[in-house]
Amino acid sequence: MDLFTTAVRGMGFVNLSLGHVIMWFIAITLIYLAIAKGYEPLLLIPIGFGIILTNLPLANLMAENHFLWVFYHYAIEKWDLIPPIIFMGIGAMTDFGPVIAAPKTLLLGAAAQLGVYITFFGALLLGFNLQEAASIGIIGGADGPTTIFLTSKLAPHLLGANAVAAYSYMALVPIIQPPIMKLMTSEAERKIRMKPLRTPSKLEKVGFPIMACMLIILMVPDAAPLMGMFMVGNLFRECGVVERLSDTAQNALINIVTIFLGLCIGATMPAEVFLVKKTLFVFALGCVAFAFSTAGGLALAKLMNLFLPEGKKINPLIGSAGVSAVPMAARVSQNVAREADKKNYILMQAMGPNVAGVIGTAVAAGFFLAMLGK
Amino acid sequence: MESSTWTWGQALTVFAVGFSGVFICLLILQIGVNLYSFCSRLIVSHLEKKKIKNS
Repeated sequence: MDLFTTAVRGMGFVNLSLGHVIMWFIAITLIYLAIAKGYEPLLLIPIGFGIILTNLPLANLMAENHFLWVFYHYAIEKWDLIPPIIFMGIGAMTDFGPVIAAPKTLLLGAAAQLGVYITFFGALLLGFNLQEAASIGIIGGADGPTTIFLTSKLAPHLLGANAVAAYSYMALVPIIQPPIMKLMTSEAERKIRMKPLRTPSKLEKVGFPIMACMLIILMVPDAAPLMGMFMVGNLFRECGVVERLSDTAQNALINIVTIFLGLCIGATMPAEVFLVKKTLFVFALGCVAFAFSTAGGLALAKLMNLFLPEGKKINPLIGSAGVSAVPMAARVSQNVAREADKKNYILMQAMGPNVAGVIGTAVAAGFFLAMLGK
Repeated sequence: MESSTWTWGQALTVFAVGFSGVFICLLILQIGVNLYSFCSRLIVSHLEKKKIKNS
């Protein structure tokens, strides 16, 4: 009889709580959105499954020295390996041509960090401390790996909520941005046509990652892990002599780390940690961050137009692409522009601020780390 | 910086240094890209002229 009782007590069913069931529901919703709606499937499917795994009572996959804990502890929490490796893959997939052809778009990437800092204050007002507020604010940069990188260093207990908020809102860029873009621009502004960008030479493209990496890291050394890997990945792509490395960085390697990143992030969300008031605040603040980042980019683009001569004015819609979500935010700019003028093509011009946004968010994270890191 | 206690002065400093820092950093990068593009185009055109001269 004792053996029977022990066996029953050892079953997960006996230890189930309402919190576990709610978390399963959240996980299945994320997996559904990823499969049925195509919302960031590469991340939301492993995150959703990680949530299920960590909310199966007695499975203990995130207990110290257990399977997922080992990956989480060494690859994210302790050594911060995964976000820089993902950045290397992103670098290998990124074409800096639009930034090189129109360097002024770099400033739009800076302006689109407005949401990061507005949300920083919003989080402080809601009772978060400086480190937590910074890690929530960075969601506004719309850059998942940077959010994970900063949160794991400043507020690891918010990692799950911040990562899910960042990736969820990134998937919702086509829904969040257009109303703000239409509200802040006139029909005439949306119809502004821009000249096609010049094609940069190979020399420009090969030298850019070296030059940019040196400049940025000299200014913000704390951004080195992200920027260093981002630029080396891009050098693999542009130099044309290491196709195997470029291919591995942008395919096999990034895919492998994405699997473990997603599972581990999901596994940081047991019911008792996730189902708290703070999580709701993180999601609300994340949405505010995205909205203000979009508005910041649009506002600077409109301001720049005041000083640019007729014929060289920029379509302010490219400003909203300054949030990093690459290339979704640039596509949204293109779609909104084409709603106003069916023959207006601004996708390539919008890729400039889009790529600049990735750099801007990593720099913002570097400044937060420099000031608030322990 | 201590995580549990903070002042609005510290928060304002983080905001001012951070946001202006991002702008300054990307402005310097913009200047760098402009200079670098200008120099690379000079080099490319010089090499092309040399190639034409030699042929």
